Amino acid sequence: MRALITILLFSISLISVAQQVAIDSDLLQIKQRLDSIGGFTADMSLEVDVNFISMPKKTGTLIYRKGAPAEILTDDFMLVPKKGLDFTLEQLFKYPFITVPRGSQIRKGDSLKVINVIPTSDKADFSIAELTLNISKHRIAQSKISTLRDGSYDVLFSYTDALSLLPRQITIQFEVERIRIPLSFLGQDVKVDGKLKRSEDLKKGTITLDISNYREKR
Amino acid sequence: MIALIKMEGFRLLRQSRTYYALAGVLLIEAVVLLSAYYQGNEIIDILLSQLRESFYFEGTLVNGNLITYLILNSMWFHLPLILMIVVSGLLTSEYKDRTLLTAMMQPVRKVRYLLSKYLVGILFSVIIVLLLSATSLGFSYAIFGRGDLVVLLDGLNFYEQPNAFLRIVLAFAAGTFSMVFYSVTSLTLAVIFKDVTKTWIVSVLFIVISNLLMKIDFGSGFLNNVFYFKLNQSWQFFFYPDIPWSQIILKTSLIVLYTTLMTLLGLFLFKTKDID
Repeated sequence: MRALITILLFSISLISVAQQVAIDSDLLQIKQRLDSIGGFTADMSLEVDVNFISMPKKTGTLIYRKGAPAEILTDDFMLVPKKGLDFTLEQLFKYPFITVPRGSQIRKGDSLKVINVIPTSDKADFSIAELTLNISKHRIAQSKISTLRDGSYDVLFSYTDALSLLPRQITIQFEVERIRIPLSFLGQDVKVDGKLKRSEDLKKGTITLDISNYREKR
Repeated sequence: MIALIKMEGFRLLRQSRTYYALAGVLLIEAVVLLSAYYQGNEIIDILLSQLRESFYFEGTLVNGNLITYLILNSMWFHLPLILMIVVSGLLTSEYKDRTLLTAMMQPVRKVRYLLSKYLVGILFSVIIVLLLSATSLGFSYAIFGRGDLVVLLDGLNFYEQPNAFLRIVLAFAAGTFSMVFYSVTSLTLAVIFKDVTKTWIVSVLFIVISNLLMKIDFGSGFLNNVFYFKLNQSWQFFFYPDIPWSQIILKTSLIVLYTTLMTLLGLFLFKTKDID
């Protein structure tokens, strides 16, 4: 019995140590910085680049509160991306995970480290994420996340200066299903009966958010 | 000539069917407005269903611009019907009441007499389209508010309020040429058939056949561009992101040509035929 308890305790401590070792230290440092963001409001403009959508640039106010999805307030109609507005990567770090190093590179004079984030809990809504960490400036440079329900998306962050933690520009690339589009809708020669068929191919879409005038929100 | 036009205008204003037509236009508009509201929600749901996987939607697209766009789509079938009934009545009622014989006993040229009817018919059509555009925009904005217009033409196209308003106004203007064509045609049919009921039946048939033929793809770009029934959809061109002005000018010029030819045919037949 004593031997069994010893083995059990040893196993638990081994798993705990392994967990600590498995999480990248640079990521933990960046996470700590991101955790310091409680909330903010900012001015934003949004551009949609999907080959079958023609939409003018839209402006609005971006509201972010820790623990809640980002909101966009606008007087116009706007397509708000479901993914990519998780500024503190809360969804990624919500449940236990491990990290796997995938190499490093130098980009524009900055040292970048690429890691995979793999959730160890069934509750996580993503299967794998690839994060590119700017270890010179302690912030996220890029994330590629494969979700369980909403496909995969790629987010590229651009910053104003070396110290900025919040991005000046976010470029979200995602897959969107192309709809087979009739000549016109509600034209006299088109019947709208809900039978618009989907074509098989997926198209890449890009959304670019320019964010400025950050105001802290508590 | 001006005296003849004034007289025809007076006759048109005195006809009870003119006011029935005006009431009819407003009634149809109200019905379309109501149905468009429900259809609008359905359309938006279908259009954006694929995008729901990637986006949330902030704001609404069921607004005055969309409703007016739906009215535009529906009215180009109903409006010619009303116009043809009223405008053909300018002549058929004279055949019926035999006032035409009395008029022809006066020192007036047959061509000028009929031409004044054509001009009043054209003016009436323009006024009705103006009324329709003013009321549909006015009611739609008052009830549903303003906002972006979404149109599905070779892709999903979103237009902001000022741009959407301009495109709708231009579409109404382009549609006016088609309405004038139908009015002129009804008067020419009145010259041919003389009888009120016969003219109405043939006019309705003309509209129905035109709408059926419009749906046929003749394969050749040339044929698709020159047949009159293919020209009535040119208002839709204003809802493409890049407005194809050359196409619009070509199609509008052709419809003006057809209208002129139809008028000349009517004048020729009226001049050469005896008045019974």
